[in-house]
Amino acid sequence: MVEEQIVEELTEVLHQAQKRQEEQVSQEYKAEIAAVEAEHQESLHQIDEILTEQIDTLLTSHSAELNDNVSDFQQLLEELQGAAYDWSDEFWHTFTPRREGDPPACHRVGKLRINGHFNQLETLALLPIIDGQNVIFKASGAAKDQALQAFQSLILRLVAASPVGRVLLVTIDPQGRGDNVVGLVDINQKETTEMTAYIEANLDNLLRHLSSVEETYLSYTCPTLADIRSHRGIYPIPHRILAIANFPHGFSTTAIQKLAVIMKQGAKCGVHTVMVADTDLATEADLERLDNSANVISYQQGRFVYQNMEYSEESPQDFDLELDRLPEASLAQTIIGAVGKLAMNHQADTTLPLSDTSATSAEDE
Amino acid sequence: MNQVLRMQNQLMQGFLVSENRLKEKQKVLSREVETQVTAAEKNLAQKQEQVTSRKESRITSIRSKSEKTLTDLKNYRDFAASVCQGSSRTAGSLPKMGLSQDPSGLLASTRKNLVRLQKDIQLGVPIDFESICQSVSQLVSPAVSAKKEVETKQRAYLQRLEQEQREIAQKNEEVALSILLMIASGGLIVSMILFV
Repeated sequence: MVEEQIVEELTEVLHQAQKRQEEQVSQEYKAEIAAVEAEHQESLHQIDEILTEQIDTLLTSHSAELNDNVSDFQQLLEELQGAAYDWSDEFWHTFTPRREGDPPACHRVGKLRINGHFNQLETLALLPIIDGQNVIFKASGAAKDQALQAFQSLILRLVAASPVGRVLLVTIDPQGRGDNVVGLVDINQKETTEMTAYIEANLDNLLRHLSSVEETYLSYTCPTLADIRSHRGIYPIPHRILAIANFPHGFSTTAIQKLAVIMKQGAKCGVHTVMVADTDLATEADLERLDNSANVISYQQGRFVYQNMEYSEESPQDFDLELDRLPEASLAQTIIGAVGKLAMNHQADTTLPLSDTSATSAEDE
Repeated sequence: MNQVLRMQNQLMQGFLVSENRLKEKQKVLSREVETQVTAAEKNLAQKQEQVTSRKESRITSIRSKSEKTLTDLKNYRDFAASVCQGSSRTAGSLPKMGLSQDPSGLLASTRKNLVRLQKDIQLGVPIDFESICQSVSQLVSPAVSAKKEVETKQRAYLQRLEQEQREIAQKNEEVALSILLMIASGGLIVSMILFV
């Protein structure tokens, strides 16, 4: 039958047309969905752009504020001069020791990098030694060399940045001949028993000095040298820096007790202790007694930290302390030479020596 | 504490306060962004759902049209078959049904139109599905209507035929019964005569 064939053919045609139509509809809606998704991506992009812009604005204003503060602080640091300048600074190549004024109240010991959520603040690690704080570097093993370098750098800085004759060194270097204190003082090598006696004699001298200062200068109205400086505008006597390398080598129990007294009472009389302690040799009890009256920089978990930093909610929790090292030997010699030469002249004029002869002479004489 | 250390302390505190404040602001911004992104994603999902729904609706419509057209074609085929062959009970009875159109003529004209449509399709004239459905439905529509008419009239014809047959059978029964009564009456009369 013809109709049968016509219907079959038309049915086939219709099926094909239906399939094409469905495919076309699918394509149309696929395109529509793609357009909707593109529109969505565009809106996400806009949201992201707005967010980035807002965060950039915040960061820019934050950085500007930070830079202003850093700039103000840098200006203040300029006043510290040698107490704050890096050894690589041009200042040291044309260095001339000061003759007048007071020793800087604080000295750099390295760089401090405080890590915030977004930025890092790099500033100086400053220690207020002349302002009345002792310093202990605590380390052992390989880290001790690093601590010794920082110690030497600090001692050199204390001497070089202070007006000649205003800071006197009392050195105790049980394992060296003074070379651990940047060769500022030459100490004759001694036997262990002699060294112990030598240390105790130096400490006794300082204790006598403390009594003498207390009796002569301090009063109820001016209980510290700093108070006298505030009243009279000048320190009446030079500050004494007790520099101890490799504590507790050569220290007897008595010497440690005397050292603890000096560290506790020395600040008010202008006697400040800077020392490197070997944590493998020093007992916990001894270190704890000394720690109480000092700024302690100790080596912990692969880095140096301020051990007794007071933590508050706003205190830096995440920071890197990079300790200073000694300058190149030639530069160190130049600085020592310049200071020494001026000190000799000054000593001749005023009998105020670079090194405290009263302390060193006890044994040498 | 001397001025330098005091200022350094202030600098560090200020830095940390500022960093914390910045962190807080960043958190607030992130929350805002999260809200905006969630809204955008919700909007996207809504639009996708609308598009999918419209697509399904159109596909359903296409299938429905296709189904209807195929049904029309099937009806047309059935009609053609009934015209050409007829059912066993109504064979040769179409002319007696008093149809409004001549089925054979209608079939011939529909066939002619469908063949023309096939040629057009082969030549690509009505290329889209909608046109094909519409054309096919239009062309077979008279035949489909006629099929319905045929079916209706067939049913009526068959009913009438059955009615007539029933009436004839009833009449035959009545005649047979009359004859039986007459025979019975005749027999009774003969019996009485013989008895007397």
